[in-house]
Amino acid sequence: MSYLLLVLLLGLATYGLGAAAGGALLAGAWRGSRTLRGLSGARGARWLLALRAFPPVFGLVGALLVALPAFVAHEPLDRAHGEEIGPGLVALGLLGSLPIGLGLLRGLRAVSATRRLESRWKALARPLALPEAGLPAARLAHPFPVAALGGFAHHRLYVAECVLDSLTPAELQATCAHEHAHAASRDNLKALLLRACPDWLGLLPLGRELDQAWAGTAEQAADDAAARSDEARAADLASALVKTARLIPPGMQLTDLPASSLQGGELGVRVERLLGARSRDDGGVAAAWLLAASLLALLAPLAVPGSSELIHALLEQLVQLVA
Amino acid sequence: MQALWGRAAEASVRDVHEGLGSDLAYTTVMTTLDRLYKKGLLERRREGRGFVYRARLSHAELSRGLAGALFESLLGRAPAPQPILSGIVDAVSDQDRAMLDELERLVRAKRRELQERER
Repeated sequence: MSYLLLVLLLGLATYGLGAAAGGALLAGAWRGSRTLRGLSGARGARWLLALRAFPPVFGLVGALLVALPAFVAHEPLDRAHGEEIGPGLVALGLLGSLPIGLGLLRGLRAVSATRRLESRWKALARPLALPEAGLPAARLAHPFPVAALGGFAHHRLYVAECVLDSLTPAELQATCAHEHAHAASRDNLKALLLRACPDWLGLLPLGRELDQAWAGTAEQAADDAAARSDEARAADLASALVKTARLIPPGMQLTDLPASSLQGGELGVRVERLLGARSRDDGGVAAAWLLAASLLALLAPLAVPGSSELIHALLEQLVQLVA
Repeated sequence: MQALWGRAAEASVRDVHEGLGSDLAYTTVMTTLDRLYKKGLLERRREGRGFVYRARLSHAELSRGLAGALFESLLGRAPAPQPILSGIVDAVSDQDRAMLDELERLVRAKRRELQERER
């Protein structure tokens, strides 16, 4: 039992340290690379999602593939008698579990807040036939020009009456195609995973900055999918964006509008992109490749003979240090 | 923030845009300043059709505030969680409404261009 506890605490401690190291690497790459901050469109969304997952993956790989196998190989159950679990190791293990627990808590709170909002909307909603959306849709009598996709697994499109009254059929079709693209790429679920990301960045402003950057690229990706490289369709969507934005009651702030939680996607940038006034180039990904290489570098010592002994010795030092 | 800290007086969006001297779009600078205002980091007053901005906090005050916010989030005193839905547009502010005129003009110009190309 105490051996299992020892392995668990070591695993959590090395996960916490690995996630911190991965977070530091990501922060350095993000701050140091304008190219990375300039990622856009569908490819940018994929890269940013992968980058955001980098710190916990780095921690997990470090704990499960590097540290624990070395420890178990050199200190199997029958030779670990007498190994003491000091308060320092317990504290380090608990500290390593902190980002996991807080990530879960953030995810649960987001699900609960989303369900509460959707319940309120469902009470106001009436069925709406929008075959072009390819999704169940509902009409809302709402002061805000809602055109939003709800649901993580089963999606539903909510459209405010003021939006339905204001858009032309072509603009409404482009809007539906935009929301359909969000549903097809499961953006709500991805946003939830980002919110629940079990790492230290979730506690820092940089984590929110990365989440917003991903949300911006996800909006651009949905815009591109809806436009389907058709300039007239892109102009319809751009017009729908501007018209919908004009319907927002003056002075209504983001905090009054829980539905805008997938923020990012600056309106001006999106419209200029759709109209071809701004490049749709997805940008370079050199820094992203650097991070992928650092993950491989973490595993590289495993290929060197004797590395397992060295890793075990380092873990022993860690246990002695905090004992 | 750096662009505004470097100025003794207030600055308009155009001043900041020119001061940055980069390839950032004017609308990007406008939206960024508006977001910083909404976050309470800038003060602004109307001047003509637009606004002029100035920093509410010095660099040191902002650093202290960020450290405090981190402790608050660790202690669970973070603001209420936002639901997760994909809304087509965010809220817009008065400042953005000036931008909407410009964006609408761009949409009209694009549609004219497409019509002329069809003829």
